[in-house]
Amino acid sequence: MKRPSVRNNVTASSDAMIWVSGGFFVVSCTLLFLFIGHIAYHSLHAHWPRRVAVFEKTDGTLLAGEIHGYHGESLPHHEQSISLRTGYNRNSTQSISTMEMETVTAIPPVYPENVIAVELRESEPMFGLITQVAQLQHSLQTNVAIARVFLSEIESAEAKGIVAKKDRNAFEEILPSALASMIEQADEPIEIPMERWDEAIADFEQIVEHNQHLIRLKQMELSGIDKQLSASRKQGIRYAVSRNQSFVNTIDEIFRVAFELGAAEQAIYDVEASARFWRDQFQSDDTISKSIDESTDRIKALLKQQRDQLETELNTLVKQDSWVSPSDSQKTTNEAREFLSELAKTAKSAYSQQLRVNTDLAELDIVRNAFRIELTLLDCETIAPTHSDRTNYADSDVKVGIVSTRVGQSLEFLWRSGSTQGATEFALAKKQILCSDVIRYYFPNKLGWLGKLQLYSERWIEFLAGSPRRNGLAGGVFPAIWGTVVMTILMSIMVMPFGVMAAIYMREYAQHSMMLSIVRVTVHNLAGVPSIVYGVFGLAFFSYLIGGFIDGGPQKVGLEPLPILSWIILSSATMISILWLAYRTLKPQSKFLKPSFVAANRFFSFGLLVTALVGSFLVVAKVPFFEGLYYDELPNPTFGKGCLLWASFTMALLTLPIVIVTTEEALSSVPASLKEGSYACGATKWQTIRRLVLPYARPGIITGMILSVARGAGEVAPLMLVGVIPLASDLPLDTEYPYLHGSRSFMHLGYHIYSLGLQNPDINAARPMVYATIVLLMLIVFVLNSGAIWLRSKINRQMKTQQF
Amino acid sequence: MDRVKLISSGRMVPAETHEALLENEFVLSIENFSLWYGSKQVLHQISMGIPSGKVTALIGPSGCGKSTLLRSVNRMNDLVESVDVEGEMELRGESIYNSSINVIELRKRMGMVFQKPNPFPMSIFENVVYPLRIDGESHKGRLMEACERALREAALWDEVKDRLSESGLKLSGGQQQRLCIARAIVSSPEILLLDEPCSALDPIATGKVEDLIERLKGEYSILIVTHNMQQASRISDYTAFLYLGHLLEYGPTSTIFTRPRLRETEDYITGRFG
Ligand SMILES: Nc1ncnc2c1ncn2[C@@H]1O[C@H](COP(=O)(O)OP(=O)(O)O)[C@@H](O)[C@H]1O
Ligand SMILES: [Mg+2]
Repeated sequence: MKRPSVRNNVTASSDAMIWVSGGFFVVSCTLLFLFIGHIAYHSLHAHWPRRVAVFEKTDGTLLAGEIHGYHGESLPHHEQSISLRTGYNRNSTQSISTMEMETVTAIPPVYPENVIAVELRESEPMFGLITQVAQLQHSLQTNVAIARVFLSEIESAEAKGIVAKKDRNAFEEILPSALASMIEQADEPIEIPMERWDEAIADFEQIVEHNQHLIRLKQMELSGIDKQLSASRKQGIRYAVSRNQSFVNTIDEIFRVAFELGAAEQAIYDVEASARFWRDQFQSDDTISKSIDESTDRIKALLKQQRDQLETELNTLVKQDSWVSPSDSQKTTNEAREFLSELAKTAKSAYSQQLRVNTDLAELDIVRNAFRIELTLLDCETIAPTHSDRTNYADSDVKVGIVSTRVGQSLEFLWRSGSTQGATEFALAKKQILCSDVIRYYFPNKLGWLGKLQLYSERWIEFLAGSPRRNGLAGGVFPAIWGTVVMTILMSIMVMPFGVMAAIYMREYAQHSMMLSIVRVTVHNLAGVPSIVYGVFGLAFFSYLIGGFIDGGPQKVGLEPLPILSWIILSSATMISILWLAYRTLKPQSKFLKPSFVAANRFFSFGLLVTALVGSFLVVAKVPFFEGLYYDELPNPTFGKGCLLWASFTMALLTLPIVIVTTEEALSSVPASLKEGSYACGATKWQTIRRLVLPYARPGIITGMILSVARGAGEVAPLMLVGVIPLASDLPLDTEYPYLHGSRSFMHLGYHIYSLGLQNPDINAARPMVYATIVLLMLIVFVLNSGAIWLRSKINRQMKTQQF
Repeated sequence: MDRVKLISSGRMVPAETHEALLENEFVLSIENFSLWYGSKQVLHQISMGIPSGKVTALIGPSGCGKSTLLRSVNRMNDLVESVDVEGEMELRGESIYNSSINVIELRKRMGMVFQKPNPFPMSIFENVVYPLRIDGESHKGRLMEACERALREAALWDEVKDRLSESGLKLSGGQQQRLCIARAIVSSPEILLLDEPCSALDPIATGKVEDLIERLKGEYSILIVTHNMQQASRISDYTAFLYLGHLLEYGPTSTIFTRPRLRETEDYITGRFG
């Protein structure tokens, strides 16, 4: 016989609490899923391409943009509005503008197929119509730049009376007018015929990309030279510290003169090139080429004289002896001279190399700026004031919207209004954009599903792997991801040994005492201290005190160094007490001592401990012969500011209580019988801990690590104080020696959300990035968490079945 | 003379030690050993010798200090903070409570098995060779050899030889206890200390462990605590009766169980008190 099931029958069980608790459960889950859903929807939506609508307004203007919502649909018509993301907009700093429904003539708006959306490196995207594609002749422009040098040199030489007026007369008219016509020619863009626009734009992209690659290479070269220069300067100052201020001044002078010398040499080179160019231009004309030659010779002679002067100045700087002090022996003086002349040589070659690279860069820049697209913007200023009706438009099957007519090689657009007859001319607000500023472009109203998907993934890839653009409003967050991950890993590497060791001491070694209980309670409480407090401490202690000490030694942080003798006495005393303490703890001890002796012993040990601690602190803090590791960078701080190292330290400190508490809990879960068994085998305490206790407690310890990692990745407040910045140009860990740059500031996802969302004047522009970053941060925390949980369960399983 | 009353009133009573014991060579001799937990005295001037190569059983009502005495032998009581001792113990003539002795080395010369099986959470192999590992042995072949010998001696080899890399925690209770015995004998200790090794086991497992102790007799000197009279009489050569921290009677097992000299011993064995 089947018994009626009471348990499964909710109504039969008279327990009303099932409804109450169930209700709470449902509400909680709903809220949580709402939260996740909200974030997920907004972030996934953020990069999805939208169509661009064009509205005609009652005042005869046009407004184009992505529709972000209709408001008040249930309200009367005059209270309804539309919010529109207009992109680049000269009238508003806000990227989303709200439009009264009343001011719009035609709903629904039109979606012209030929609207192009252009995402730019440093400004809002532009929505418009291409009216022209053009290319400047960059080789001509380069020529102009070269040609100018000679003329300006002539002018300055003439002012100095080196070139006679009569020479000048020979090409008084001819050269300037030749230059003028050259400039005119160079500034005249070559318009690309309409049929070839697509092709041309693709070509441009390729050229610009290659050009940008070259520019990057040159910039790398420049920064290499910069580094070399600052390194040799630093080397000089390091060398100088052992000498006197006058020596430092000499080094600075050498660098100045070396720079001028480099410039002088570059000038000679430039003039030669320029003169050669002019001569080629006037090969056939004997009189002119002759006078060009003569003038060139004179100018060159002048420049060479200048150069020689600088050269001598440099030599005298090396040879002079204002810095020689009477105590110097002949040998050290010679050594210092040797050093200076070596320095002068390096500086000179570095500076002239730098100037050469700069010239190359200028040339590349001309190419970079030569490729242009002209857009007709569809923003509010494209007013059609005249309403001059035109009927001769070509595309007569367009009912309402934009009509294009061909004018020469480019296009002209007309607006065919819904309200009036015929088409209206725009007051064209044209905007030239450089191809090199374009990140990507697309035709939003022509895009199919596939195209949208492609664009969407392109944007996500840029978001994940790219650097931020427009102060983080666009582009990627890779530096922030990288910073978060590097900081979190560093933090775990620091906190784990400290936390675990401290917990081992507290649980396994320390004797039960009042003191220990106080410490334990304090540690538990510290786990709940607001994180900003740690940030303040980190800034004051790590950055300013320890960082300042590392940078500039004890004086920098206001600690008076001890006289050498007292320092030596102090350090020996400290050393002795440390060794003594070590001996006392390490020597084999008999357990069975008389209590009074034990007490005296403890008191003595405590005294030694205090001496050792205070002594070591003083020995380090008041060291007399430590000038800091980065005194040559002062007053610019290296470690004496917020940076990766101190941020990791602060976060390690913040998570230390968590790790200690969880580790201690894990350690205390190890059964005493196991430990006894190990001791009975003759194991020492440490052997027992290492072979038995730690493996047994590992899952619990890893739990502590998970908690600390999740906290480290998600925390923002303390990081703001100790090294996180909104935009960092360098990564904290890269391929450049020494790879991990502890003294760099870095970006962090949590702070990125904060600074984008709250520090930004245009919240609407930031919103997509904020949501995308939030979801990324959540994802990273989820991944870290679940990775750690997986690891823990794997170890658990292993421990149950396998040997460890 | 009512010894029970005397002891309860805090007086010392002399132990009744049978002369038959004197024939033996002692591996461990305990002289006037007293122990306090804080201010509470748990062992009172115990003097006895543990014969070499024999099984000696410690019996007595629970709480009388059997475990404490056993744990004093390998100085496991050092781990308790408030312990104080007086008197002397010697392992083969070497003082155990000398202040210059190395406790770690001392423990390595003894093996100990606890009331509840306590295999370590590692493989069977690692469990057995644990004492060798902490002694610094890492040669795989030697470890394997020692492991096999200890497991054979502990009568466990045939049951586990195919799964040495499995966790020791997967064995049954009786197997686990034999594993602990194997761990205790792997480094050939001079004395084996067993603290009620069967009290947590079922009868069949108990029988197996008892057989094992029988087989180890002769090769090892064994000191076993038990509150099971039958067990004591079955497996031990000598029996000591402890009462409230005092050694009352100590003699050959056959005599203690058939013709005890003290009435208290007889009462305890026959179950009249305790
Ligand atoms: N760590 C300890 N601290 C204080 N007293 C203890 C401790 N261990 C045992 N005792 C006490 O010592 C006495 C003897 O205990 P024990 O040797 O375990 O007895 P047995 O093993 O004979 O049952 C008991 O009264 C017990 O309460
Ligand atoms: Mg006991």
